[in-house]
Amino acid sequence: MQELEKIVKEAEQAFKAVTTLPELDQIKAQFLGKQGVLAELRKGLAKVAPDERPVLGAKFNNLKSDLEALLESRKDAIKADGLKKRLESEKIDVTLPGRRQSLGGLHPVTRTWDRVTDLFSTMGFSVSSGPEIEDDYYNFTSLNQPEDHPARSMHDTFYVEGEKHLLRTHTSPIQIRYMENHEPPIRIVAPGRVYRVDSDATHSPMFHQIEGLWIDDRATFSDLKGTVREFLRRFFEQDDLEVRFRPSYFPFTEPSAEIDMTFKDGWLEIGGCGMVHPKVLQNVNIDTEQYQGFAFGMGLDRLAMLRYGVTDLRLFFENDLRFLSQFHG
Amino acid sequence: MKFSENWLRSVCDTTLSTSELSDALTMAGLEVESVESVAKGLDRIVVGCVADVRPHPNADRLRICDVDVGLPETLQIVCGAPNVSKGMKVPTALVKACLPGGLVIKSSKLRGERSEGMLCSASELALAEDHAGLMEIDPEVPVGSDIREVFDLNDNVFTLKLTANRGDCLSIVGIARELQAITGVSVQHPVVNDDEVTHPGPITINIDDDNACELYMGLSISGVNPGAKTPEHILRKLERSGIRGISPIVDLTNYVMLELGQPMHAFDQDKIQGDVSVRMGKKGEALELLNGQVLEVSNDMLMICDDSGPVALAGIMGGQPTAVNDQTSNIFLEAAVFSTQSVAGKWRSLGFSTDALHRFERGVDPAGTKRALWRLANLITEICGGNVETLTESGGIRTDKRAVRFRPDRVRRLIGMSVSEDRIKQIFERLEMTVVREADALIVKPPSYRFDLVLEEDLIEEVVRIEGFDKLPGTLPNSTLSMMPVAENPDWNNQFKKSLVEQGYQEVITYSFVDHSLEDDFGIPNKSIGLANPIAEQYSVMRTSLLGSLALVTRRNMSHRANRIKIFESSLCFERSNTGEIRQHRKIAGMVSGSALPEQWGTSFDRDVDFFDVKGELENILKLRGLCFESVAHRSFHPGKVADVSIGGTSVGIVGGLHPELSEKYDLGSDVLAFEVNLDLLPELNVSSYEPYAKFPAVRRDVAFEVALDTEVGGIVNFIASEGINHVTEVNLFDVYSGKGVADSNKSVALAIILQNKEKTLTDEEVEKSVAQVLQLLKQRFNATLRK
Repeated sequence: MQELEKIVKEAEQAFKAVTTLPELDQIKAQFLGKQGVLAELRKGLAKVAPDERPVLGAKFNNLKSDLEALLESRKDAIKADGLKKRLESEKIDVTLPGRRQSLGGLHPVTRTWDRVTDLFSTMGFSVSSGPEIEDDYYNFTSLNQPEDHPARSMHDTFYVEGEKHLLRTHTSPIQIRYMENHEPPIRIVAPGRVYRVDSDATHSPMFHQIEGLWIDDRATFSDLKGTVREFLRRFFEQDDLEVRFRPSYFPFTEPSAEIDMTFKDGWLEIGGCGMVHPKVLQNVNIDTEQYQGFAFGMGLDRLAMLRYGVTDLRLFFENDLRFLSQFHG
Repeated sequence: MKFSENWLRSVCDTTLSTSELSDALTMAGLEVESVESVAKGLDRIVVGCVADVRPHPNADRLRICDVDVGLPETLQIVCGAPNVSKGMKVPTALVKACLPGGLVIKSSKLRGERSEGMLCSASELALAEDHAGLMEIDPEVPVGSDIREVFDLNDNVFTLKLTANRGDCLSIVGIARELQAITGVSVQHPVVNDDEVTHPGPITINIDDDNACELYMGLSISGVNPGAKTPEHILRKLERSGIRGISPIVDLTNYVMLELGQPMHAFDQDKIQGDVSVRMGKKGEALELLNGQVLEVSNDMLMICDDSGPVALAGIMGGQPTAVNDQTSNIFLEAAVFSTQSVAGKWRSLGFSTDALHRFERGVDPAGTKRALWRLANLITEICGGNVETLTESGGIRTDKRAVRFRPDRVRRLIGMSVSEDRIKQIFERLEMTVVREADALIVKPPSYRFDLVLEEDLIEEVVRIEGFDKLPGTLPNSTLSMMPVAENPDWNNQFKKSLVEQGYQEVITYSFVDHSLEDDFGIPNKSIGLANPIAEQYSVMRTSLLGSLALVTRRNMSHRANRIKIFESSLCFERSNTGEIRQHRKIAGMVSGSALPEQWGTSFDRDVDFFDVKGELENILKLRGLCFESVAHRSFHPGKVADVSIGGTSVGIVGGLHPELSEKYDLGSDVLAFEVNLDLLPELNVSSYEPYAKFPAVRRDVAFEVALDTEVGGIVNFIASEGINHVTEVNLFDVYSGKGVADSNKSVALAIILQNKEKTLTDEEVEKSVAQVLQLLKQRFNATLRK
């Protein structure tokens, strides 16, 4: 019996002496293989007297399971050790930068455009667009600005060579086109590029406007005031922003007002607005006794400048990537 | 419109401070652009009288003066001005006075002589640019008077930015009337003496076109003194309104225009030949205008003519031949009402505008014409002498100004706030409207000078304007909520932009107008639309393509050493169709150059971007059935690296490498890739629709074969994929190779054929049969030989 204990000790030492699984497999064969120590013992068992066999058999089985347990535990230890080593060897420097394509981005005016249309869509406005080369009717006449109206000089107009077409001076023609094809109630915003013969530090011959139009049976100037003020407060995320309405004149609205907002220590003009002029509604066959509504317009470039702290309008159209890449946030 | 605050205050006695006045005007719709003091500083400068002048012992050019400034003792002042003389009155800066140039006057010694002040020239006080010695002051002005009062310097110049509908405010009295409406203060109109009975003169007036001119009055004054001078206070008011003094007759004409809003013109009566007629010009006539310009008269210009031809451009400018000058003693004053239409927009063709044109374009009150003419005649006879001889009138005031029916309840309906009828009436009356109450409405008659009050809405504006927009509550509109349509697939423009941004593109925004040459290089030939009045030659053509603009942005950024450029723009492009119509399409275009990836570690980033990078990006965006890239010719692109992009047979765009000649011409450096897609031609996106996926395993068979070197592999792949071979669900290209082991005239192509059946697992036999079919087709169609 001492022999059995000796075998266990020997096996334990042999298992411990190896550090890899293939080596362990060889040792395993030495003890538990067909030609192994246990197999030899088993052969000896056959020669034992029959009455001793049960006792010895039980001891033999114990020995076998002891060896197997030793083997498994050694196997586990070797595996754990191997994994540990592997994990150590596979360690990377996670502070190295990731592999990537460069970042793209939208132009700050487009970001503003999207933000403004998103805000108005939460209030039920849909977005409408129209052509940029317009004719005189849609840009002026339909908007109560017949030929030689002095207000036309407010917009210095680009004309197309050799004909009556022009580059739209405002996005208001979109309103006319929309009203021609839709019945009240109407709630749209119309963003877009517009063009005026004007170029200096604060004017660009091409710039962006957004206009809103709300026509139903009850929209009032007070509603206009509330809507524009709400928009500006939401746009600038400033609940105490003060907005002032100052009487003005646009041929297509009556009454008309300029929109000023508080900026630094004073007022800053941010847009124009008014109740849609009855002649404009009549031009698109809307009954002015039944329906009325308001319209407002603002410069998207101006909104973008204020929002992002851009001080020179021309930066928007110079397209220097060192400028544009600052608006990827 | 610029005016002197003191002048305004002289015709209406408002108690408002300067800043309150400015706010009140602005908030009533007469936007005050600026308020500027006419003279800053100039404290401690008084009128001094030179009591004695004697030579300076140590300097030839200096003299010592004793100056009486109203103090018990005279001041000794050393003076270098050549025109100083005993008895003259001059502005005298006392010790501690600060001159506009920043000089502070101190008690000092000049070459050993004490000097306790300074005698000033007009330029030293910034009152004029005259450098010729000391400023002489009228001997009547008392010694010791403050200069600010003597020259009325406690005044501000207001600049109004008037809207086009408020021509009635282009005068001092007009602005005073507004103050009357806002604050209730009353206007003190100038006293006009028009009871001098006169008889029609020798000049008869004939109005040819009474639509263009409803009223024309001519007043003759004889014997005016050509040597008379315009009074200082009038010159000062003119100057503060931005008008230069010229001669008394002209100055007074301008003065009354500023005061009452009626532009008038003075002719030298002796130079008028025969009678005056108001008629349209005739081609071939010419007139030298007062500004020296020789006007070629056309038949759309309203002219004042005498028997010899045109003498003035009606309502705009007089002519040189009949102008008053320093010899004129008999004058013919014109006061007329020319219609808006007769002058409107004329500044555009003339290239200049005038104060008269500006006013007639906005409407001049016919009811005030005669009064203004007499006001002018009074001032001229008072200042220049002479006698009013005759007054001849032609035409008459049209009284077609209709009353407006005004329903007070409409105020609330339109502006969302009610205003009491009493208040409405008060506002209307202060605006000089007559108001009569009828059963269901007020009948309101606006004054003759308010051309802008025609509709009920116009009157509502007056109510809210005077009441103040700040009184309106500012409510959020009430409305019936309805859900708006939201497409599951957003529009192509947004989708395309978003996808480009995700793939590293930066959006740019460039002008829609470009240089001709840019269109020649990048645009659609002979389709572009020119501008009649571009701001500059380089912005004279509406672009048909965005590529040129992107090339300029690329160049600009390369010049800043940007080593990778990946940009796009989305915008309308414009072209003229073959039938001459204007077409406007939304296009999106991109341009890429430099390395395929930004500089980084751990991957090879320094490979230059190539055609297949950009094509792959487009494929990612346009994941549509029927997307096809085929070789095409395009003059802006490298002939061997350009593909037409089509969807279902419709060409929608182009992608390729820019032509090396253009890259060189525009300094774009190495390979530049570009694409442009017409968004209007892209099909609508369909909502995804579920199909059961195959549960049985797919089988892959790789086939490698050789085809002629110039065979387009895309064609092979598409052909096999679309041929409908049994069980073939996908064909993927995984290798193209030419070189060792392949015949020189050939290339090797390797395809993975994926086969699958929805109902069952394919047998080897079925697979082999389909693959055999593929090989058969390859051989037939492309003369392919199987590689072993």
